[in-house]
Amino acid sequence: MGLERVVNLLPGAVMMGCTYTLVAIGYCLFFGVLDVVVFCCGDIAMFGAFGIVGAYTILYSAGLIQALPLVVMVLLLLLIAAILCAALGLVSYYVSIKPFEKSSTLMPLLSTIALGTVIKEVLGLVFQPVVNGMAQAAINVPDPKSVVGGRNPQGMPHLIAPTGTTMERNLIIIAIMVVILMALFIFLNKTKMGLSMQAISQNRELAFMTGIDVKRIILTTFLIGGVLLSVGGFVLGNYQSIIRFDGGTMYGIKGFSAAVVGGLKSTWGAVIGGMLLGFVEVFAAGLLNGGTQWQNIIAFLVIIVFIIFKPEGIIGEKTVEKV
Amino acid sequence: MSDNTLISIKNVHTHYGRIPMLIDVSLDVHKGHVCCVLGANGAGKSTLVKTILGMVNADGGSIAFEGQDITDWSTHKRIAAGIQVASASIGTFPKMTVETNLRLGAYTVHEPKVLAERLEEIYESFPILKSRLQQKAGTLSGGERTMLSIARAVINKPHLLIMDEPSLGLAPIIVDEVFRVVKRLNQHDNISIMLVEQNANKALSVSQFGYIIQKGQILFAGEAEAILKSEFMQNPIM
Repeated sequence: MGLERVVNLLPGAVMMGCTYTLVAIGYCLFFGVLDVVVFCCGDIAMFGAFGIVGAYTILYSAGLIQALPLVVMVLLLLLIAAILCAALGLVSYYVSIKPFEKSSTLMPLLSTIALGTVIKEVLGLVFQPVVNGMAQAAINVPDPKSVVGGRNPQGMPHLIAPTGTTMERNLIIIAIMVVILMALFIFLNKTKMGLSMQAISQNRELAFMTGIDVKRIILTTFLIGGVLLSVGGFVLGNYQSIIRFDGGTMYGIKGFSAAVVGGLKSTWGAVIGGMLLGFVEVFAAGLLNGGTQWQNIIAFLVIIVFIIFKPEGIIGEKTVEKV
Repeated sequence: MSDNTLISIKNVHTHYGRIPMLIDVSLDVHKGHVCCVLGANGAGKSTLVKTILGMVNADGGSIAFEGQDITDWSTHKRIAAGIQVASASIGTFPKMTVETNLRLGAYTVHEPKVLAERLEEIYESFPILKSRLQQKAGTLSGGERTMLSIARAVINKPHLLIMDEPSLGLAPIIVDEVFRVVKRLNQHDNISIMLVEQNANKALSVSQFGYIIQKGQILFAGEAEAILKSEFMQNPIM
């Protein structure tokens, strides 16, 4: 394996890492304020990706896509996805978490898995007859149904540097991700709202006693988490070109694994866990013979090794507070 | 209720599940006073604090603060109204620095300028914290953590400061220091304090009035002097 090969794989690895990081941060934020694993994160992200495809299709038939400059159009689509996902985030809070506030943590675990399945199947139903011609044209697949695996795949339009190379596209997306992550970290560490989220995560009782409106912060977390997940769906869709309604399940499991490997309550941990997973996957696929079939096996074996030797996570803490 | 009453709790009941925790508790704290609530472990002291804050619902009875009925208010609304709790056992935000704990803890202070002034005041009255500002709160010693929990509450200039067992788990010399702080906050800063304690002698020495609580019920209420002389002080369980 030559150095050149490694360099070529690097942007893809970082890219994949970024997509996992986004969904891992989603898990982190929700777990932080609720102490509950919200298992439908992957499906919310996929909902965002489908939102983009759907909005693109509608706008295209209205002739708006052709009329607008690319940047405006991309921002518009992202905005639509963000609103959809934030709304879905709120819905998932009210439907699958709030009713179980006082029950064991197993209940919301199950209810969010159930809700994730509902989201997924509804996406499948709604997009079943569409197999969008417009997006199809954009990705040059003559018959999207011919794409291997899965039911009714949808073509994600190339929105980032449509005429550029994959490398250029990856670099642009990585740059956007860095900006988003920086904004997120500034928000979490410098604003009262962000610090309140961390406060709830670190000491819920004291957060109440401090006068933090915990309920409002939880709702805000679901809004922000939804927006982040929509970006995750967008980036993932762009990377894979073909999205499937059930793609959120694997994406969610990988994001969750990244979050756990990083240390479920740490956003930095989520970044590291996400990158680790992205690197293992892309390099396994790129460097091994027939590696694509092995990438998931290797990635999940690495996860098992990590949770055996570092169960508290890379940035997790063994003891919460000195007693 | 006299004009001098800051908080008035009347006939409050609470329970956890089916277990009654507070039974018909009535209690007043007067403006400018230190009022102590004494009781053994499991007597219902912490439940009382959480009921006052609205973190535990009162099933019956009422709570009035500064003349307003706050029985149905949410916790954050009560705190915005001027009630603060300093509780060492609830702890700190362990992964944040001492400074962030204080800044975020000053949740009811909205003006950056006022916040800066208050921080300076806190550094002056709690010099031990000043030398620890950039340290993670989770790494503080027990005494330092208690001081941080008190400072975090005081920075909001509360009308009523509830101190939940400030002497818990501290070395005697630090306990003395804590009670000096209690006295200073009351006499110098003119803060009304409800002091919830197991250490009856110490607590009564800084209080004007006291209540004894046992098995969720108020057993005795009276002037601090009277409690000191009473039979309750002979009882080793107290």
